[in-house]
Amino acid sequence: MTRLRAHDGRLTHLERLEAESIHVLREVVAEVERPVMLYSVGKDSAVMLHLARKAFFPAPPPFPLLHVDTTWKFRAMYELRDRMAKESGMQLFVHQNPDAVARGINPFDHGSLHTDLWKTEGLKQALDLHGFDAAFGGARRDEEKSRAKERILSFRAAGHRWDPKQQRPELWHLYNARKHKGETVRVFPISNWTELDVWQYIHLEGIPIVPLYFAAPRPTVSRDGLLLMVDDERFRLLPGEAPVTRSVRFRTLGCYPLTGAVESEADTLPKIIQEMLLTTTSERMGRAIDHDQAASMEKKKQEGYF
Amino acid sequence: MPGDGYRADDLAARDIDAYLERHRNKSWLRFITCGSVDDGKSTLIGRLLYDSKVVFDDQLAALVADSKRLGTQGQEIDFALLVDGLAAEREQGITIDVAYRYFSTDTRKFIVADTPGHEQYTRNMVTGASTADLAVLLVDARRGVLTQTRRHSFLVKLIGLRHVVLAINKMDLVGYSEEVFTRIVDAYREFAESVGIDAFVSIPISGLRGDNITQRSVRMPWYGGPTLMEHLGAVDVEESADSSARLRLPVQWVCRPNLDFRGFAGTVAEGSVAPGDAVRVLPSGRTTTVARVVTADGDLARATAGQAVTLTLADEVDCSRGDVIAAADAPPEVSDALRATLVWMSEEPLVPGRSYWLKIGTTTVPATVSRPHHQVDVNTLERVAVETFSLNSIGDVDVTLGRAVPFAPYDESRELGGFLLIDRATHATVAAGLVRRSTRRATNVHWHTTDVTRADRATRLGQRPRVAWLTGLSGAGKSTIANLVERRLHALGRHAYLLDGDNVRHGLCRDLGFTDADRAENVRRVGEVARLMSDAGLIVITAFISPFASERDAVRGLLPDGDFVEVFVDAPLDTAEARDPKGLYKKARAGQLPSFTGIDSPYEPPARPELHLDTTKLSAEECAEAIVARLLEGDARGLPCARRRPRRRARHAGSDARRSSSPASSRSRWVRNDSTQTRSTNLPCTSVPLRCTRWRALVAASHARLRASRAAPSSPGRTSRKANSDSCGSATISTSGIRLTCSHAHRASSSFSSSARRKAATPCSLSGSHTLRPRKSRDSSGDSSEKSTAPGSPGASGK
Repeated sequence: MTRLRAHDGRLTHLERLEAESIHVLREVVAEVERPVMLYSVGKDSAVMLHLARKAFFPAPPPFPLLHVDTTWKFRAMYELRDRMAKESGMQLFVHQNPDAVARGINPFDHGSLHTDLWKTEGLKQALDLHGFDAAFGGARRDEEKSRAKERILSFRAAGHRWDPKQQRPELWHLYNARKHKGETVRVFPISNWTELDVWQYIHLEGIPIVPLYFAAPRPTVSRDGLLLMVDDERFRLLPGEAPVTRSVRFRTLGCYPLTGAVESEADTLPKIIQEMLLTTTSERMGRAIDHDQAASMEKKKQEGYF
Repeated sequence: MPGDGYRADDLAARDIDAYLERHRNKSWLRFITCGSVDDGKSTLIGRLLYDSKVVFDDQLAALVADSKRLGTQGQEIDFALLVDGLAAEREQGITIDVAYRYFSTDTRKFIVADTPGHEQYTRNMVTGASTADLAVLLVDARRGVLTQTRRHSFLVKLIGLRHVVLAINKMDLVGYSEEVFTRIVDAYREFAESVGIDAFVSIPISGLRGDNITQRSVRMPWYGGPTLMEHLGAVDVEESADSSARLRLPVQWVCRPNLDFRGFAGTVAEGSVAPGDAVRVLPSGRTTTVARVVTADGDLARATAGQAVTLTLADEVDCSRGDVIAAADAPPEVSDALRATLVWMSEEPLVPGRSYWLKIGTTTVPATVSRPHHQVDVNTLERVAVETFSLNSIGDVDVTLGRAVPFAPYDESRELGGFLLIDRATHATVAAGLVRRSTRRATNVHWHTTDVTRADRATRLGQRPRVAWLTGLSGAGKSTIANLVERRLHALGRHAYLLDGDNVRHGLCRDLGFTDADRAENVRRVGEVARLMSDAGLIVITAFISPFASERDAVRGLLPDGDFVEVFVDAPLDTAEARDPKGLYKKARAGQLPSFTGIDSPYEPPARPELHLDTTKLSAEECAEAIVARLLEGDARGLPCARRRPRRRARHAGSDARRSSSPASSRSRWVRNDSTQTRSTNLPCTSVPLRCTRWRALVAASHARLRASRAAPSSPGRTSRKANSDSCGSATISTSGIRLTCSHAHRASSSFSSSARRKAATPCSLSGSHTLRPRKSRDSSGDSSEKSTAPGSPGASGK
């Protein structure tokens, strides 16, 4: 906390954000039966995991980690995932939708079906399979317009459907986590954090993140306005395409064939933050999922996408 | 280009480390914008985001496209579209929920709760305001202070926001007129004072044009104050926090990673905490000292309000989730009965008497809500009588909790004074609540258990200390009848006292008027006095209009079962008005007496009074006799005629009596050794009804009967007396002495000895020392989460 503390002894905005998130984590753990933390290995997940380890210190967080895997994440993400699970002393569940495995669903052939089956369906399956009734997620309200109204506790009816009219008002620091059997709740402890807050916190707290966030020479191809990284041999090059080594980094991480890189020389956190501050495009530009249509996130959410 | 930006691009570009260092020290401000549909609220927020350069190029491109397609500003950018998120609301053209927006300056991070205005407004605004420090009230310069401005101001005051900005928007549409601005500010000042908003800052702006948002407007040179952003960036919200606040830490979670560590995790709600501090754990009240203030970043020398920490304590005290760790010398109150203001947030209306869950701090308890005392019309701020609350209703209720919880009045503490009501069936959050005060005895002081009990005093006076509560319209005859009752009781040698409505208003309640709240307080005070007097053994007669059922019920709750005799002195309004003994109706009709019950203030007749006296058919004397008879019913001495010749009621011999005679079936039994034992041989058994609260009186009566039966032996076997509906056992007089049997579990009452007081639903017992004690300890399968309540708290008497 000392690293976050202001000169004048008052609580800084990061200290307040941290305390608020810890409060939410503790409150939900105390009120639900079987919580789990969705760990996607991105920077938001990294912050959330860090907060969880602080919240229950000196005990390890009293819930497991769940990675809803698509088999198409960057290799560096799998490495950090396994390392962090070991370091935190938390059990790690990895779920791959068996249906998607059987059908060989991939981002090259199946378009949005890839996300639907691996992520949306995979998440529902994993929660049902293990009987988790609360899932912590690293979503933030500043990410996208429709998320500005998302509650910190977001309730899903049986079948994981989100109904905007059935959400509960959240007053003061009181969270009502009661629910019926079969209902689940998604919990977003870092709702009030912005992208800048996340980066500053990672910087000040020294939180390990996937090296892909830092600029480095990487094999890339440019396709449909996105700069894609050729992370493994499964990457299908189109006729005329050849990987070009560029100094790139990622502002957001997902399935590697769907995640656009930005050309960058920022190889330290201050430089990343600097670049972020001076950039003129929003974070989600790098994700193909949002380009479909207006209010796309809301539609995804109603279908059960996180 | 409006605004020169707050993201300090230059510094970020030149020296990122200096930039980061500056931003590390940022404070934060959470505020809410309040305005109606057309006040330009979304436009203002969109403008703040835009001017703060939170809007990226791609979003801006989308915004420009959307503005042309959906916007209301022609070909210009519609900033409102930046903040309207959900598809449904876009289609409806209104926003339907609370949205949170984020932007920063060099020195501050801002979180804006955007609460749109329409019929859902109250719920949304209260939700958004509950976490805010400041409110920006938007007023359309063309329209000035409107009903909705009053409504917003009332809600801002209700939720306790200390900082208010009156942003007079759309100045561009009134020619940037200083005169318009001044007129609106003056009009608002007058109103603000009436709702208790002492201070506010007025700023003339144009959200659309960007005047006085981030940049000082060149079109309003007459305005010398800060821009909106300057004010938001400079206002000190922490300085207003009470620096003398004492520690309050609601325990969220007990951390036990191993046998050597037992920590209590929670957020410091108020005050601060350091190792060595003396603390008290509530509601148990046990004291200890803080050993360590643990965090993952190392132990702290001191933690302040807002920090999430884990405390370890010096002693092994019982402490778990829901408890509050507080400064030992200044603990919060603990109570199981609260007066609270509710903001109803559900489509399902309130059902008075239904059990809800109530979450306050980190504890959740069952709670029953009374009928509303009143509802506040948020537009006129008038209090109106209602039967229930529906969506967006605001008003006062009494809440009775399943067990006592630590709390603070909301005005003193948001964290310990705000609560949620949760529907037990749907689990929906149906209301937000603001605690006003405890309606029980002062539970912040230790209740001293005195050795002489209510029953002792009653026995000494030889009477049952009931309270006859006369309620009815003014002019119904309450005072006349009450006076007759007191005279009659006095003539019968009873110790009685009449509390008269008019009389107490000369002293005890002379500071109270005739608003609903004052009426309620008036009744509360009289109820407390009546309870004290009846504790002292007196029979109390009260004569008060007491128009609200919930207040009367609250008094009922103060007294042992059966000792509150609600007497409905019933006279139709026209009859009472025709009598008009004090000329009050005439004055009320002339408008000289506002809030006169029956005229412009409601009267809620009792649903199930112990006595319903129709004064159009009964004389005052007949009414008085009926009350006296009811007051002395079951009394040890009874009415004079009963005293002279006891009536046999053997046919009513209850199963209680039979059961008591059979050792096998009696669940609990106590034998009182008595001097009579040595003298009594071969005497018949006699059973008399016993009510535990009056056991001594009955022992005395049994003695009398024993003597009587010696003098004139009755038929062999048993004679029994009717088991009164309020009896819970019997006294059996037999050869071995007097056997007092309590045959069923029941509520502990105030006549129990202190050891029995806390053991609810336990068969009581008599011992030679004349105290009631349970023979067996309470079954140990009790809910471990159940906290022992403060000694003397009525909540200790269980369900």
